[in-house]
Formats: sequence, C-alpha cells, structure tokens
Amino acid sequence: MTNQVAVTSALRLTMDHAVVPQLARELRRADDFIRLAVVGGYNALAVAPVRELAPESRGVFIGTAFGPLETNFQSLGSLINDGEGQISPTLFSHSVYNAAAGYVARLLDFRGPALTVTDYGWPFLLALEEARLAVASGRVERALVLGVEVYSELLADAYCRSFAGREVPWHKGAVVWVLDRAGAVASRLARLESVTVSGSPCATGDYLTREAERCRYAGRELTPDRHTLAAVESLSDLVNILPPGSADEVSWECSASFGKAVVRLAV
Amino acid sequence: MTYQNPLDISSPQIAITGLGAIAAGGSSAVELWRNLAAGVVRCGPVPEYLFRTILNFPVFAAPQNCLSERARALLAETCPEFRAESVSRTILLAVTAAAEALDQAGIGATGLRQLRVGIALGTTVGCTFHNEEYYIAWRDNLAPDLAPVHYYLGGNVAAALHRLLGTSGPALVVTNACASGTDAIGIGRNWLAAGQCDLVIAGGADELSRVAYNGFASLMLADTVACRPFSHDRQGLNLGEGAGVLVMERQDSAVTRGGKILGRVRGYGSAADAHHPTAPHPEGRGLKTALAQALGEAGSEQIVLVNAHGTGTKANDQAETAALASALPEANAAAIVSTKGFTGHTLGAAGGLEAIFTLLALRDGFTPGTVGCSELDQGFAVRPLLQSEGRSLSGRLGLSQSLAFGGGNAVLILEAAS
Repeated sequence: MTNQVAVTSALRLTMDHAVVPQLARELRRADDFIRLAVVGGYNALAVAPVRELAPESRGVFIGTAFGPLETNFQSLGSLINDGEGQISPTLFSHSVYNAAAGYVARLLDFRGPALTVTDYGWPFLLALEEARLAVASGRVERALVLGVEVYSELLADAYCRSFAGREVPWHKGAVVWVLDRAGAVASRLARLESVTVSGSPCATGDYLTREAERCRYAGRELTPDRHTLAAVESLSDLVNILPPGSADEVSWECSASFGKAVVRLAV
Repeated sequence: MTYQNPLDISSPQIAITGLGAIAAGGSSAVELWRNLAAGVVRCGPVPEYLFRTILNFPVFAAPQNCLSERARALLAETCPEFRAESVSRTILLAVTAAAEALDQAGIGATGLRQLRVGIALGTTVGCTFHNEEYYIAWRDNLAPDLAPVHYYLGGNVAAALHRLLGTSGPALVVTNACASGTDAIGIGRNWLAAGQCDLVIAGGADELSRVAYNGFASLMLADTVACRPFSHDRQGLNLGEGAGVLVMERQDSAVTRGGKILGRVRGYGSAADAHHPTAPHPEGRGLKTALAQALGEAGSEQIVLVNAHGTGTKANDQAETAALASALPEANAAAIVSTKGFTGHTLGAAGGLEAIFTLLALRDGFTPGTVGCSELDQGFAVRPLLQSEGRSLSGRLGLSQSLAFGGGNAVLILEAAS
C-alpha cells in the first residue's frame, strides 16, 4: 500500500439536480436510483481536476442500504398484476442492485472495477474504503464513490407505523466523492488516510430510526438527521470546509447502536 | 493490454485453508465434487417448498432443509438462541457453507472469537425484499404486520454471519449480480493483503426466488430443459441456488497456527464492459481487462484450467470465449469448462462455488468436462471440453471467471497447494 489517496471532489445532491441534456436521452428509462447515481457522478467529475486517463484505470464504487427498492416492488407488482413470465424486462434488469453501476460505467466511460456493496449501517463508507484500497494499491488511478438512497413508499409506511406516525426523515439523495492518486493531481481537499467500519448487532428498527447516531469531529458532537446518508452528508460538508494546513490529521467518528465508523483525513 | 502487478497488494501470499459449499448436487463441497465428477445432475421442476409456478423452466434446487448438522453444531456454540426460521434461506445456505469451510480450516467457536474475521459475501436475491403477501396487503392498505420488514432489515448476509458466529471485523455484501461471489473473494484477498483482518470468510450465497425466476423468463434467457453451456444448440440458463465459501488467511499466519494450506489466491481482476444494461460486450471487453489484471498479478506460470462463467446463453458463451482467445495466451492448451450444467446458475453464489470446483480440480489433477455439452458451437475461438472429455491437468494454476448483468466481470486465479 504505497499510494496516498486524495479526495478531489465531494458533494451531495438530491433529485432536484438537473439532468444535463447529453444524459437525458440515455436516462429516459432509468429509475431514480440509476438517475441519482449517473447525475451525481457527472456532477462530481465536473468539479474534479481534469485527468487524461485510460477508461480501464477508472473505477466505480457504490454503497447503498436499500438499493433500487422501489423498482424491486414495481417488478413484484408486475409479476402479481401481469402474471408469470410477464415482468417487464426493463423493470427486472433495473431492480438488480448493480444496474446503477453499469449505467455509470457506460455513460461516464469507467471501465475499471464497478463494485456495488450493500449494508444498512454506513454503506457509503464501505464503498469508500474499497475505493481507497483500489487507488492506494494502484489498481485504479481514479475512483468515483457514490452513496445512493431512494427508499420506497412501502418502507415509509413501515417507518410511520413502527414509530407512532412520525414523519419520514429521509429523502432521495446521493453523496458522491472522487478519489485520485495523490501527487497525480492538485487537490484543495483532504487526503483520505483510512476508513474503518465495525458493525454491532442491533434491533433491526435502529437502521430506520438511527436515533443513537452521533458524529464527532475535533471535540464537537453532531447529531445528524435520521437517515442513512445524513452522517456522510455531514462528512462531505466537513471535507469541503477543512482549511488546508489546519491540522496534520483529522479524525471523524460516527457511532450508533449498529456500530462505529472512523474516517481519518489529512489536510 | 499489459498490466503490472499493482504494487504490493498481492505480495503477501493469501492461503486458502477451508472450502464449504452446498447446491443442488450436494450438501458439502466434498459431496458436490464427487457428484460433479460422476455427472450427477439434479435439475427439475421448481419444488413446492420454494414456490409454485406455472412456468416450465427447470431449476437446480438445494435440499429443503439446507442447514447442515455441522452448521447447527457450530451455531449451538456461537449463537445458542439461534432459530432457523428467523433468518432467510440465503443465510442458512451461507452458514452451512461457512461451517464446512471453518471445520476444514480447523477453526472452531473459540478460535473465531480470538480473531479479526472479515466476511465478504456476494448475493443478489439475498438482499432484496420479496415477501409477496406483505406487499399485496400493503398495496391494499391493510396495514400488515411489520415482521417481514424487520426480517428484511435483519437479512444482510455478512452482518448476519457476524452475529451468528459471534465474530467481529470487516463485513461487506457484494451485489454485483452474477459476479458477486468472485468479487467477494477478491475483496477478501485485498483485506488480508492490507492487514485489515486475520481471517476471511468469503464467497457467495443465493436462494431461488419467484421474482428472479420470472425475470429471467421474461428476458428469454432461461431454457426449458437442462442447460447446455457451449453447445451449438444452447437455449439459455437454468437458475440454481446454493452457497460456496472459502476461508482465507495470510499464509504465514496459517502456517504458524498449523493450518493446512489447500491453495492460494494468486490473482484478481475486476472490470466493467461499459456497454449495455444486460448484454455482455460481444468481444468480452471488460472480461479481457479483468483477465489482464489477474494474470498480471499471478505471474508467468501457465494456466491449465479455466472454470468459465458458461451460463448456456447465446451471448454469454460467445463473449466469454472471444475474450479468452484474445486475453489468455494459453487458451488453446488450457482445459476450459463450465460447471453450470451441474449447479445451474446460482447468481451471487456462482463465483464461490466455481472457485471451489477450480481448486478441487487443480488439487486432483483432473477436471470433468462441461456437463450438458455434447456438441460444441463451432463458432467459438477456443474449444471448451465436452462432457465426455474430462481431462488430466498437469499444472497447479487455474482461473475462475464471472460475467454479470450490468456489464461486470471478475476473474480469480487460484493455485492448488503442491
């Protein structure tokens, strides 16, 4: 492990982000999960340093808790309504978790690894660590890392019925980072030193409420909003405001009933 | 395209010390290997214990009771409160395979608690919500009991294995469709090389589901009789279910604790076609890249066996053979086989099962031919083995490769211990 890894873009987005015309046609059949991934990737790359790289040296890493759950239910609905053997081929192929990675790879021409991982705790951080290892080892020069969540109406109903009619705290959204081999680019953002995620057994409802989730940075504690991407949204914000040279190393920690995560950054 | 060994990621030797599997053809790796060599094929109608269907696409179903006695005994020590009905069939399949692999590695409940254990498992069906009764009731505004939602939230197969085995360490579920199991093993290899854990349980597990069964039917990728990979008259795949799991350690650690080395992971490559949502690139573009990466790590020793993805679909078998002819210099000399005529396409489990078959063939110096293939498609650029052409192997290195929906490709290069 010899390469240092630079964060060269870190942003969050919602469904309000416009789809650029050159992608609109390609995304006309895409569901929200795929759309967020492609639009998020496009926007993150637009603000990352320009690099002339072979497509094979660029990799996509997606982490998600719930994946294309709504499309999954539409497939199920199609099976129930239309009968056996009649599921829409497009719906079925888009209900597979890695459909978004395939779209990103094709539309943004990333021909290195295209990895999708799933976890109910901090899926973006798991994808981020795999991306960091890939850049650090030299397997890729650039990694596009996405956390994408679109949830579903069924999940929202389960949340509201489980927790006494509370409003659903989540929104469709994505967190997107670009990692590059440090030294190959000039980045105004931090270097990514390590990502450690350890899980703990918990009540399954904790993955929805995330009530005990807390983030800590430089002696300050933050209670993120109660949804899967909230903590890493705050981490993305932090990466964007860390002043260069402010400290040798920054440790961002997040704890919850389902585990603990530590991200070490150097600025 | 030439790839250098990327820095030191593969420098520490990563040893395989345990193998575990379950599929239609048997409830252990030992039984599966014996039945594969004997040409036993357990392909038939969807059993009622899985789901009812009016379609006539046969499947390769694992036994109804898929939790082995060995797994029950291990769980009695690691998770005494365990109830089989509280977890998914995918998790039961994974636990059965993991228990066999750990047993072979000589690691019991006490040993597990003393180690940092990484768990990387691939799945497709195992991460989705497919409870039809709940969905229908919810759609009809009937406020169904929420138990299936909590069952789904407890269904992450890697987290579940940590919980059931009482272990701690990295956990990851790979959802790269049909390449998931192969990628999971590659990721586990990387964790060990990076020193992130002491031992890895890696592979894949998947159960048969009505949605996937109907989805492949609607894509017109399923055959109505037992599949015939690489055959001139192949008509598609048969779905299957199962699990295939490796226990891996750094070789120096395994030797120190007295573990028996079964083989090594010598190379791993993973690359996207960036071509089409469901169809592979016709020349196997991403597979060629993944092959080049894995071969670059493995060095110059000759590959004598290729366990191909070999689903039996027109497009897969064509793309895969084209990529092998282009990217594997010894493709014409190597024994190229598919084992999907024995297991069916087990989706997220396929990479785990096929890595095990690769290693066992290299160990025994013999590979069975391609089950179901009696007459080759003459349009291929390489020549896979017919079912009747089992072959002796004179080297120790083989590769196992997977191609996936979405254009993912993954390759492992495995070495049998001498």
